[in-house]
Amino acid sequence: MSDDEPSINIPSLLTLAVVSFFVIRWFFNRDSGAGGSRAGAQGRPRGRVVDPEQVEQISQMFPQLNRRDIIWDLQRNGGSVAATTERVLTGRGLEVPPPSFQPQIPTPSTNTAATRASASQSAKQQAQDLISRYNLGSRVEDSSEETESSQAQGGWSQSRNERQRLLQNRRDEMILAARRRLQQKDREAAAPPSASPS
Amino acid sequence: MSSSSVAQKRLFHEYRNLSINPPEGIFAGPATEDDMFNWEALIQGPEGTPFEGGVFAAELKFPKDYPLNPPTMKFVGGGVWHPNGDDPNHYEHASERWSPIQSVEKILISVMSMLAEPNDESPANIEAAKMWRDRRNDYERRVRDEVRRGLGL
Amino acid sequence: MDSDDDFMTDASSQEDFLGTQGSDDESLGDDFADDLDGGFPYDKDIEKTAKRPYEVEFKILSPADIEMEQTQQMNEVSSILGLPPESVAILLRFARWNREKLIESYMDHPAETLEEAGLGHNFEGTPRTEVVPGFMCEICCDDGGSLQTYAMLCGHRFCVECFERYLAQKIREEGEAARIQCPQDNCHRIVDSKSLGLLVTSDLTSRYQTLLTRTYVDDKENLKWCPAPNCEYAVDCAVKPRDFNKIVPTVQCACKLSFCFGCTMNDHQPPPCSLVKMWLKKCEDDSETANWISANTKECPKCHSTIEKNGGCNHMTCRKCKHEFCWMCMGLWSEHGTSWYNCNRYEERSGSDARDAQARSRQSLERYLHYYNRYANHEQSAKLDKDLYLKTEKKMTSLQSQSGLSWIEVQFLHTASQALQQCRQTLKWTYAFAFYLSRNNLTEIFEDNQKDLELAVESLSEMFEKPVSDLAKLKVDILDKTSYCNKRRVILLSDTADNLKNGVWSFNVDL
Repeated sequence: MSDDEPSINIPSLLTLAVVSFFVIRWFFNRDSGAGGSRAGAQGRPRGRVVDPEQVEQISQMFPQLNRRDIIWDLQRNGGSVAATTERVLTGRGLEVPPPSFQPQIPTPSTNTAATRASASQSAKQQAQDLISRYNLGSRVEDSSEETESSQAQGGWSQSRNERQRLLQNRRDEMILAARRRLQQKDREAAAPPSASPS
Repeated sequence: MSSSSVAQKRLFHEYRNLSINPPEGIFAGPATEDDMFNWEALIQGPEGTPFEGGVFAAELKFPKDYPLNPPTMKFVGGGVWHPNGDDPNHYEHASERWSPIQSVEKILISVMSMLAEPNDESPANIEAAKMWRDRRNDYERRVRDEVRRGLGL
Repeated sequence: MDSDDDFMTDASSQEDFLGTQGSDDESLGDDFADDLDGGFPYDKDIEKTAKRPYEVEFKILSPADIEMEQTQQMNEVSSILGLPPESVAILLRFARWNREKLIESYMDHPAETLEEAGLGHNFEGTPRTEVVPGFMCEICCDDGGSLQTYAMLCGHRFCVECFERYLAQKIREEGEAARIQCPQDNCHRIVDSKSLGLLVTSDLTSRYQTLLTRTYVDDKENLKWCPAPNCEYAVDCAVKPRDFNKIVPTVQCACKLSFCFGCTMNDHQPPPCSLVKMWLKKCEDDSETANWISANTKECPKCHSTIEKNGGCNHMTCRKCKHEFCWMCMGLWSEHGTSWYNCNRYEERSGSDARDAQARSRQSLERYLHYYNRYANHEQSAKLDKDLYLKTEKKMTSLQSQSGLSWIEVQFLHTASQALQQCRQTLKWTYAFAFYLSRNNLTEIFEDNQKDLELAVESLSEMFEKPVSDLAKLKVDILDKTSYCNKRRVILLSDTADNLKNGVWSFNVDL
């Protein structure tokens, strides 16, 4: 096996690779500045909140990985994406967190959905109807025509708050009454007009 | 009296009158009493027109030297489908110039009558004007739809 | 009214005789007045100093004069109609100061006239403010017990403060003065000056007066504001607009600006205002570019797109339609390469129409350019002459010190410079005038006059540029030359004005 050509010495090359790998890894661990990496399974969650973005990043790079594992690893190496990546790349795989470790897995996908929804909502705000404008949604169902009388024809009071209340009342009443009338008309139209000449 | 205190006094007076004695189908008042210069108004669609049964909201903005200068008015909540457009400031006939004697009540009443009878001499909303002129049925149907939509139906 | 005018013009013609630039009148050329044969006075029945045919009568009025005129008219009509002066003021403004028409209309249907003008039927009582108990002003909703109120004769009552604010807004911001209506809805009663005086501060009243004066001048046809930037004067000139094609009314304001009453631009004698407008428009227009294009380019005989030759060869290929033709005769190229080559011979060919049209437009372009170049040259020279005037100042002072002449004696340079400028301006406009003349004998005479003036101006200008040391010697020559220039100018203008008045010129356009 030992050839005469001394140029490429495979075993020594391999040794060199392994040694340099360990050195680099040691450097990375040192750089991350977390003291807990040396002891390996010195899992001190310490209540450290893992950055969901980092989790997302790693998850996208390695979709086969379990998020829980990612979070566990990130927590252990102090939120270093590079270290976790390195670990995965070496083929060692991430550690399996203990069963007691149950982090809340944040789902960043929900954020984008929310923003999309609000964008379309503001577009629709232009064509808002009166019910939503004045938040009468709750009072719409209340089809008991009770407040007819308090339609305060001529409500004026000395107290300012009272006045504003009366004002708002009248306004809401106007809208609701109109809505009721329309609904009434719908009902009459829907119910077969049984020849009511009236 | 400075001009803005005149305006305040006058606006308050009008507000009072409109609350005690509101005309039929008209509602108007300041959004909040802290700012008397921004009002909200509701106009009922006049009977016998496709606007019947509907309620339309508008915002009125009063200048500091009211009543020397008229308020600006704008429909809110999606506007109205009307040949004269969304800006009732342009609703007045050329003969009806503003004078300090005019009032919010008069303005709103004239807007109501303009809803009933569009002035097709200078339409601001060309499409609506064409529809009103050429396809009256479509116009009326659209107006009725708008009425329903406005009330949340 | 006529006699008034005559009386006034006597006095003012005296003052403008003395006030005009010295070059025309007394300071030089005592042989001048004797020589003046061509200047027939306009109106022979009035004895005053001879007016030359190109001069018109005019009066200068200050704002105070204008107000006086207005008051005078108001009082007249007031005594005729029996109405108080401030109401008459409103009526007159409504009738645009046409007194006869107003009186007639009032006599025929008084009620309607008053109604339209914005007056009611009652005129008695002096306006005053009063306190009315229990009154609430509708504008400001104030109902204090000591509120000062006022109501015009229409009966609509408001508090004095609201009135003042309303009037202040109308006057200051909207610039309305003559037709301020009562604040009440639908009330067309016009606010009269007495009421206004009672209700507003004095600086507002003076602004009101200024606005009224402005509308007066605008309404009256024979009055125009002097176009000088800060000048307050107006000029009264009796020349009617329909005569503007026959007479060029040059007037001079108290601020020494000479302008044309017809178009309020600078003096543009001899052509009338309509020709001037046409000329200026032509100078600005792109129509000459179109002319250039048709003169220097040719159109492809097939697709008519414009082509400019950019190479030596006559074989043209239209880029658009690929038609091949000869640049010289516009005929088909296929005929050229063969033994049928005829391009060098003069023959009536298919391209003759195109050539004719082109020749015509080239001609008209050349003609226009001839006049325009000279026009522009004189305009430019006038500007240079202005600079020259400033240099002249220096020359004069150096001349004083060098030759020992006193200041008065050195003034001849200043006069010469003025004369030069004025003559150049006249010359400039003669070219514009000549452009529109059609060729006949009169045109020849006109161009002779023009030539004389040109020569005179050139020689004067040349003398002017001589070094300072020679100037003292040339003083007499310069004086002579100056008066000669002026004389030629006057002759030219008189002649032209006479002919214009008698409608003798024939133009190649419609005025």
